Amino acid sequence: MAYEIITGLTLERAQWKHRIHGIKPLPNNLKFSEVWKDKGFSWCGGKFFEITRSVVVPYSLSYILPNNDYKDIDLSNATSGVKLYPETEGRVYEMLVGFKPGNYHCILYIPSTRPLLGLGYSNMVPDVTDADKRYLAAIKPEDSPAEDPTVKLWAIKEYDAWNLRLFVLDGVGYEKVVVELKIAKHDIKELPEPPENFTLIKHHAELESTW
Amino acid sequence: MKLISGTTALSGAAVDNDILTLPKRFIGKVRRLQVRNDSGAQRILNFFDRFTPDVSAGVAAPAVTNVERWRMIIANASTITLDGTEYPLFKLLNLFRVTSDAASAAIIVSYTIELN
Repeated sequence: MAYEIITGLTLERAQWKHRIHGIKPLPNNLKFSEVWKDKGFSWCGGKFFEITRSVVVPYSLSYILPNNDYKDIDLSNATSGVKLYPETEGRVYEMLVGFKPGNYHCILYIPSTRPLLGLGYSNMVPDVTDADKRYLAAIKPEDSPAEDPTVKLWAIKEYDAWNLRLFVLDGVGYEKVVVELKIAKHDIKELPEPPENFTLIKHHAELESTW
Repeated sequence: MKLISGTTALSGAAVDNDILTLPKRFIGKVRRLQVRNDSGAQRILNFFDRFTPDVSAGVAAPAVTNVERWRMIIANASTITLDGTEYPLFKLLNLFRVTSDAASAAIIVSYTIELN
C-alpha cells in the first residue's frame, strides 16, 4: 500500500496518544533525575526504568463557579484531593490535562502554595487577586484543549500535590469549568544499564521558573 | 457533535416548567428554539438556567441560582422560531427552565441543544 487515509477518528486519537508513553513500540524508557533522590524518593531518583504495563484511564471534573472567583483542585490522594495519584512505588502516572472551552483559565501550583511558573522580578508570580498578575502563567482552554491536551503532569506515590487553580474571568456571570484528563498508568521496572533513548522526568523543584 | 432535541408543553397549573437538565460534564449551546402560543392571550416567557454553584474561594456556601438567559413576548396564536445554527442563542450550564407571566396551557417549547 503506497499510502493510507487516516480517518478523522484515528487522527483525533493520534493527536494526544502520540504524547504519552507506553509499552513498545511507544517510547517506554524513563529516567528520574537525581533531584528526586534528594527529595526523598530514593526508589526512583537517578534511576532508569522500562514501562512493562500501561493503560490509559480517562476522567473528567467539572465545577460551576462565579466570575472573578477561583477554585483549587488538589490532584493528589490527600483527604481533600481528587485522588489521581498511584498508591504504590514502581508505578508512575502520566496525566494529560485538557480543558473544555470557556471563560476561565488555569494556573499550576505545586505544592498548593507555590506557583510552578513565574518571572524573575520580585513578586512576578501568579496572583488571581491581582487584576494583572492573574494572567501570569495562565493556561487558557485553547492552550490545552480537551480533545488534544498539551499539559502533562507526572505523579508517583506521595509526590507533592499538583494543584489546578481554576479562575473564572470577571464579567462573565457564571461559568462551568470542565477539566478532561487522560491518565496513563505505567508499571515500571528498573533497568540495570542506561538505555539508548529515554525521557527524563524532572522534579518540580527543577521546573519552577522564578529565575 | 452531540445534540439533544425535544419538546415541552407548559403545564396549565404552573407558571414555571423544567425543560431538561444537562449532563454534569457538559455545557449546552442552544441552537434552535421554537415557541407556539395558543393560550388565548399574549405571554411573556423567560428562559432560565438554574444551578447551585460549587464551593469556591469566595463563596463557602453557594445558594441555588437562577440566571435569565432569554426573554420573549409572544402574541396569541403565533409561533416564534429562533435560529442559533451559526451563533448559539445562549449557553446553558445545568437546568433549563421556562416561566410564563401567567399560568398557561397550550404553549409548546421545542428546542435543539448542542452538548460540548
